[in-house]
Amino acid sequence: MRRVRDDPKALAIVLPSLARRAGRAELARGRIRIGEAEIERGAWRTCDVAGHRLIEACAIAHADLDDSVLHELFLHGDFEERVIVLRHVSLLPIQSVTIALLGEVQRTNTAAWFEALVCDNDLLARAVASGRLPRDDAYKILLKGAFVDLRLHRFYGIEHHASAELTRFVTGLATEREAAGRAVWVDTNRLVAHAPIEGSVDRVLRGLEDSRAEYRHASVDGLAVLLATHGDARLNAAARGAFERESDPGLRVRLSELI
Amino acid sequence: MRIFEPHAHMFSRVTDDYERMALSGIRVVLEPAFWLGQNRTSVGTFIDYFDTLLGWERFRSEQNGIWHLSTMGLNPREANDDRVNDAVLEVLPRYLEKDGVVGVGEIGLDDQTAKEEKFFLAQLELARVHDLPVLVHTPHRDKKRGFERCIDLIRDAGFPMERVLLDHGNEETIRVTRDLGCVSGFSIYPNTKMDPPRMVRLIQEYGVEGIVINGACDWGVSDPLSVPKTVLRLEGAGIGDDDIERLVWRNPIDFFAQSGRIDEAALLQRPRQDRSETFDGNSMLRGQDPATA
Repeated sequence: MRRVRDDPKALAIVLPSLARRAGRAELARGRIRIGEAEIERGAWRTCDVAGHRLIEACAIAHADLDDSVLHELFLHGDFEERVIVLRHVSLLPIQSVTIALLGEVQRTNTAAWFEALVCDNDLLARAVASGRLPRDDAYKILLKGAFVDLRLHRFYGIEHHASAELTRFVTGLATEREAAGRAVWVDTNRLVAHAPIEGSVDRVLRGLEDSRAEYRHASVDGLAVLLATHGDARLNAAARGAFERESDPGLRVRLSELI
Repeated sequence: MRIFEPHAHMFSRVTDDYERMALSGIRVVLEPAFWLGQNRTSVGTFIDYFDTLLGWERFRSEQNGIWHLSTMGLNPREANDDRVNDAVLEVLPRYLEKDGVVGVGEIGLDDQTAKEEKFFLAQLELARVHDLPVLVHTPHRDKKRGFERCIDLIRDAGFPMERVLLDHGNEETIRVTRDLGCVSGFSIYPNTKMDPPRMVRLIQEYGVEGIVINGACDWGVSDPLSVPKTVLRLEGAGIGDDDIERLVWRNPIDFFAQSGRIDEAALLQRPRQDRSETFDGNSMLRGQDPATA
């Protein structure tokens, strides 16, 4: 801690050994708020916390610490260093390094880096709300998450920034997968209901009859959103029909609340 | 026989070499940072090279069933080059803290110039600060005097001899190094430096204590299977399995374990050769099915 307070360049020397020295044990689960950010504590490891504390201490001691330092630490970091830097950035207010690193993780195929920055936290939603990340860029990031089957609930609050454009993105992925006979992103119907376009309601209603419970769960959640925003007789009838057919106890409870 | 190959420049070798090495019993390769056949003109190319050793090269090695470790350093040839020498010294500390970096090297002398000595001493100090052993390249020309000069510099710097591996030795230098407390390395080459029959005679005379052997394979006429071929010669000469294992496994592990970054139990297991895995999205496959590649 003293080293990085004295000299910000020491960060580049201290970070590489953090995983080795602080360990990789996961923290206890629990959703918490730190400053502006909301995160899942269980996604963090002891070395991530140590890294965050070190970078924070350095930034406090050197008010003029440039954003580019974090970007450089990422660019020349090994696997673990990159995770540590990204986790740290996920806690910060949205700034230029956030946008730069969102671009980096959008281009990477390393799941751990992508997840460290935009999953199990509200960073993507905050970035959109700040106006510094163009919505289309945020949608591409979310689409990448959908492409590799990361669940929607890991991108806290992003559904509140849904739009017809995002629905087009996600629906496009779904129809392409369906044409190829491949599994569709399970959260498709959960998300498209927030900003339905032509065909979205039919998609959600079809999903209520899916043989797989997790897809029906997503469709029921989608139906709930549609009822709250576009309630009509057809949707009410669909909810009643689904309730009568449904055998999953949890889903029956959920549907009974919608009728 | 399990083999720890303590000096191989795999960056310069093809993937088939990894496969042949794995089949020959090599479980671990240690890749020292070195000269690339021509001088680099900016520090950026060193940074990219160091990152490659720790990144793609490690991945490529493990995909072929061999653990990959490194030493990092400014080689003596380019220590003479003012376009890069100071800048490389500046970036080295961060690399000396990376996982899998178990020493400083190759450092030492080549042309035996004042600049080489300056950067050799500076890197001995880095090794002290980062608590790492050193892999010392010794000159190919005027070797005996170069060995002696390296030893003098190490002594004058007060660097502990047990943390020094003096590499590229021969029948002359073993007489100088055997009682120093350092480890003596021998690079076994097809035609030069040291060959398997000479190495057998040397082991018969001096034993295996404080000795390691390597292939030092690179982009030149060299052999990544030098160590397993020498093992065969040693067996044929009646050297016992325990001594051979000490020479090609225990000795290099004991030396580099001084870094505190070697987990021998992990090295005894083969790396997971999952061909569906990627490094930053890139795989070893070229459109092949991971199940059959």
